[in-house]
Amino acid sequence: MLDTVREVSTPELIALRLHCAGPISRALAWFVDLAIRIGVYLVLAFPLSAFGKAGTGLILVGVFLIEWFYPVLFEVLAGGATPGKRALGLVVLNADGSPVGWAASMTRNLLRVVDFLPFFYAIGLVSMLATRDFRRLGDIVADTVVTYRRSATPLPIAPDAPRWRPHAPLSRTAQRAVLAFAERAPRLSPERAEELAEQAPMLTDDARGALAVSRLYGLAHYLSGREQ
Amino acid sequence: MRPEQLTLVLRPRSGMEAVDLGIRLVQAHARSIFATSFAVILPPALLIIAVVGYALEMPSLAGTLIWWLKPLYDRALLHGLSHAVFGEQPGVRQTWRALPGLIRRSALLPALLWRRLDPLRSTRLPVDQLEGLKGRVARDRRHIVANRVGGAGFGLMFCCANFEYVLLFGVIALIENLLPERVSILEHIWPAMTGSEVIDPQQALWVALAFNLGYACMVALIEPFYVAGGFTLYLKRRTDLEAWDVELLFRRLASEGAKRLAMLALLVVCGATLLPAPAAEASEPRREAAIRQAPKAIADVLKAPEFGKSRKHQQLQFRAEPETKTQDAPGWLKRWLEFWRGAGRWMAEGLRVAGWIGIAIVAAVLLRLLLRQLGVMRARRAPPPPPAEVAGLDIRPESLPNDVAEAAHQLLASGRHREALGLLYRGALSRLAHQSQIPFARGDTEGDCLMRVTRAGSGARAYFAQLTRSWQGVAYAHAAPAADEGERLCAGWREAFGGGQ
Repeated sequence: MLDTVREVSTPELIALRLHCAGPISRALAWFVDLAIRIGVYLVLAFPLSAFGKAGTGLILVGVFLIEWFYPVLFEVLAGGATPGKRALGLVVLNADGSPVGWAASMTRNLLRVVDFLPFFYAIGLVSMLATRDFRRLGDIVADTVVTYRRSATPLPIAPDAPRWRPHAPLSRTAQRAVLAFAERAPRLSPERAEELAEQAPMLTDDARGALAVSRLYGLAHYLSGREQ
Repeated sequence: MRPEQLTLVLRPRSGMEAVDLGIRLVQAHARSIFATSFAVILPPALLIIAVVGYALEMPSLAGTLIWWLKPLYDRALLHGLSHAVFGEQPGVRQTWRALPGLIRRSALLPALLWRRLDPLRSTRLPVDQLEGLKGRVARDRRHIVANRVGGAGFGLMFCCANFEYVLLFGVIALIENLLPERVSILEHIWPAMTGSEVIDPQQALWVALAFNLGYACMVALIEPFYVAGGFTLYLKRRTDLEAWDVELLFRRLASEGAKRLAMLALLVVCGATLLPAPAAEASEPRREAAIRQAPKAIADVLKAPEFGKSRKHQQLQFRAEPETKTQDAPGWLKRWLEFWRGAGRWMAEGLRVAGWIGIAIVAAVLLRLLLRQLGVMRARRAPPPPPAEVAGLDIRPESLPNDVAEAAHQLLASGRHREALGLLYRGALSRLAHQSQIPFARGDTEGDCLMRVTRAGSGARAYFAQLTRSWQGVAYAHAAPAADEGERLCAGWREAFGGGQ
């Protein structure tokens, strides 16, 4: 079964699911960062260009510092994301899911030089398109991944429904199914919601139509502790 | 479509994540997908290059045509991908054989004409090709499918369009970098692309044709990702609209229940009564009936005013005014441009300065190492003061009595050999450290001290060796020295280090 999730487990055997971000969102984040950096250079260069050669030197130093340390500083000090990544909802993590530190961030950003070759990140692009977790060479060397902060938008709460309880303890699959139904059904067409609800007769005592839907909602409220 | 047979994990995803899933899909079936892609894209591209580019000598038109025919390639790629999500891999030959049918059924003409510039082309394509809808129904359906994923779809198109050129120029730059000095392909490509300089027209044509071929190859590399991204966006929308993942969960639940019932039935040995069949089957006839009535029901629904209502929309717009004057760029802007034009020079300057700084640092480090090696640095440094304590013995002069030998003598007289020898030894160390400047270290053992005294060539070395031996005997073996030995040591001390202070 194909998915873009990287599963890691902590030493306490807690399974974490990292949603790896692919080249499209990362390229867009890079464009945003590029625009920000160019803006900063323009702002910097306006006053400094008045000082002739000395100003040019200062601009050069500024360009050097920003080009090399802009991603590193944001990744380490601002929660793993440059402004561009933040705009796209991305965050850089170590491959085991922990936040990146100085060493990892420096490594992955220094290796941009290699990824940039031979023309505008061609090597990095090929590497991202070819590796399982969409990593460029810098990510592979520093053992980091770029992931989504949040996978999907939060879903609405199911509408109120009369009280309905199961006759027997529900299996884990059943609980997940009921909760997933309650999250998704308010956005479906009513007919589709009813058709779906009728596929779980064991949970609704063979109810039909709207009654089945409302019974599943009631069950979801019971499971999530929102029952009145 | 049967969601239970998909080899993709169905779950709620953001649009971007759906696009990434498309890339995973291509990765997982790379061999068959890229075989299809090259087999479908290269033959028409070569034909176009030969006829339009070479025979008619219009290479730029050939490039445009290769680009324009992308919807055609998309159909073949989607054919492969839509099988790949079910775990099948149609061969190149099968795809070619299926292509005429695909072209007939999937509204290729509008896709090549007025829908060619649609950025969400690959997201909407499955509606035409896989759902096989026609006319207004198809239009509404395309609208619904592309709803809410416009951002991700546009980002996909934008990035894929750029990726093609990044890879194409990447290959050119790679070749350029690997060529020996004074041989350059860029000097041929650049004038041919810009048309700024007059070069041999025949050569320019060949360069342009090679460029077209390179572009076709990059299309063959990137287009699968674009089509797959659009296809997974389509699947995401279907999953959102129809909650396929929930349906799969319910089915799994039903089959688990059925399995449990079957186990129970096996366990029941009474035998006569068979347990009822799984409840899931009960809904099947209803489903069949619904499917049979579906076309009529759909037609009824589409008659509703929500579909196909025409609406008049009025809006004020500025009339286009003719440009009266072209303003000259202001002075600061010109200066600005000049300023940026020198960017390469600055970078070179900056790197040169950084290089000199680096060389200076390396030189300073080397000089320092050299000086240290020659001992110049050490000579200038004053010797460190002697430690307060060696081998656990306090050797500060102020901790000793004024006349060490006399004090030791008295201790011996009162029978305290250990204290007496200790005092003598401590005094000897103190004198050697403070007066003869022998560099004892805090952690030295008695043996180390004797070695340092020997190395320093002190005159008191013979006496110190004897004292050390006696002290070690008392301290570690508890062997009291002979009576005259104690006296001799006291006298020796006075000789070696003098009496009094």
